[in-house]
Amino acid sequence: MSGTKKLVLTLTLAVLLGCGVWAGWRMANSEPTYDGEGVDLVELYQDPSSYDNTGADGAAAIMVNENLEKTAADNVVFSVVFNFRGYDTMGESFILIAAIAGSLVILRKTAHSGKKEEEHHEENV
Amino acid sequence: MKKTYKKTSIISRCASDLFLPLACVFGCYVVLHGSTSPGGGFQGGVLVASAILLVYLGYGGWGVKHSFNEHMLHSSETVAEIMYVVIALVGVFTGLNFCVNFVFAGQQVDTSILMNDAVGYHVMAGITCLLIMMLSVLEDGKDDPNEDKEEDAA
Repeated sequence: MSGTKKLVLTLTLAVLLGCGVWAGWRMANSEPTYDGEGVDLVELYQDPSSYDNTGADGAAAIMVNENLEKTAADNVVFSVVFNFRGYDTMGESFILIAAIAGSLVILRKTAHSGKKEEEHHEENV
Repeated sequence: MKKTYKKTSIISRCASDLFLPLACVFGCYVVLHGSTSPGGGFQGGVLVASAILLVYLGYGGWGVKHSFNEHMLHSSETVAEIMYVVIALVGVFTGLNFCVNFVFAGQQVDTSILMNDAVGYHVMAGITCLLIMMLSVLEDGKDDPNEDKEEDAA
């Protein structure tokens, strides 16, 4: 690896590290979002419809409250999987492609080696 | 029909003939209803892919080899992934986020249904390809006596 490549790599990693440290520092200093304070679990279990999430903020409350306006999906789970977390679903699909390509490599190899053995056998005969 | 396959019992053949369309239709139903009911692309795709096991039970490795094209399945898997990425990227080109509903929000039209179908197609092709490879490994040990028989017949 040449000197300029090393320099660029070091600079990129340093910038990424700085961004991560800065984001973590900001998150640690910001006020906590909904932490579930004052929620009685026994009451909530007995009467789930009494759960009050109007005071909650953050991404979860937006997903539950404004689902129909934002995505026009009937199902909240569906909208989370394919709209709010679309990157996640795409990554799962790529994992499947990678897994199948890997097993293709392994299983193809045995087939080729079997053919080679047969050819050698024929030659010997 | 040059290659004659080893006949399985008539019960398993008739059962696979009976349940094959049911399995395919049920899997497609789960994929297409993923937007409103439990299930979705991944689960429905695996249900459709399980049809190959019924073919294997009914007709053995011969039926699997002659009814499925492994290379086409492997490439259609990639085509489905490209479909997903393109449908998701249209949201970016209209000035919104990735994977967002690019049709006007508030209407009862959700574009992620198309992404769900793409994922179903992708999982169906991928799992079928995987099962074909596993069954071919299972059939490798039985290949040699069959070839000997062909040579004898020829």
